[in-house]
Amino acid sequence: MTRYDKILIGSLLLFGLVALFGLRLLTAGRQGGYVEIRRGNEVVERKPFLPVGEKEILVIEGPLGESRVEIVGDKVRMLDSPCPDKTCVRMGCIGTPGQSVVCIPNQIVITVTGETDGFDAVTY
Amino acid sequence: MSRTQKTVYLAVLLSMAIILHIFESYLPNPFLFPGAKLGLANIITLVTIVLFGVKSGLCLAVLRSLVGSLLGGTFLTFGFFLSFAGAVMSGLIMALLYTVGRQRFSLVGLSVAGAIFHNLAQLTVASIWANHFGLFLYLPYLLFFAIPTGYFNALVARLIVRQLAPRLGRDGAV
Repeated sequence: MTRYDKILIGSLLLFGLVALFGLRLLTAGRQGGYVEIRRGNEVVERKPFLPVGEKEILVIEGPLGESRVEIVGDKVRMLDSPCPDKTCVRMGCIGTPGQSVVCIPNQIVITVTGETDGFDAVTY
Repeated sequence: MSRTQKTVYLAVLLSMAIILHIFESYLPNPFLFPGAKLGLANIITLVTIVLFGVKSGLCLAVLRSLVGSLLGGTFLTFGFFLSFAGAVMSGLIMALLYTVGRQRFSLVGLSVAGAIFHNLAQLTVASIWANHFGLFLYLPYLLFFAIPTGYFNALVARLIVRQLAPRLGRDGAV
């Protein structure tokens, strides 16, 4: 091994370690990924979860009126909906990728998606 | 060395590369980690670049990927594009470091750089295929496998070069 080999390998190792720890910091506490809100077939909102303790209310206009979706830290729920049965509100909080809250009368679907845009795994 | 001798040597090297390519595809992944692999066929690419020059080495990389996948039954599948891109990219970067950084990098440096660019090319193809560039988050993990496998491949390549160089009337000190 020459001196240049050592420089090459050393800098690659350093890059790997920095990237690894950088990624850990970036992705810490965000296991759930994104909240995706659809009206009919159209995605109207796509937001990452918030740090624990913070809240955000999104207002989505549906055929019946305004639905209010609340993101609380790493969970999301339908806070209020103009639908007659309120099934969506009673579904409570969700936070695991793949879970969803559906309001059929107001045509709104809240889905939690993972970091990887719907791919469970890529294999070859 | 006559043209015929060179042709024969390159043909034998190419067939060895193809065998290693196919043999490796039969092995279960020793790292339990998709994308990380030994890259045995790259040993031959490296040997060829050093002993027969950049052009021969690149031809060998392209041909072994094509013929290896034809014989292995993976031609034009997702795996083929991964291995083709990886083989060409690592061949190119090894050739570049060999010509530009002559005498500066030993086989170890060439091989490790080749292994990493193999991974980079694979991730690029996989990202385009999956239409999702988050796959690059995987790079640091692959890096930690690429360095030891690259190092190991360089040691094997050095043994081969030491044996072959005197027969070709070349200096075997690499």
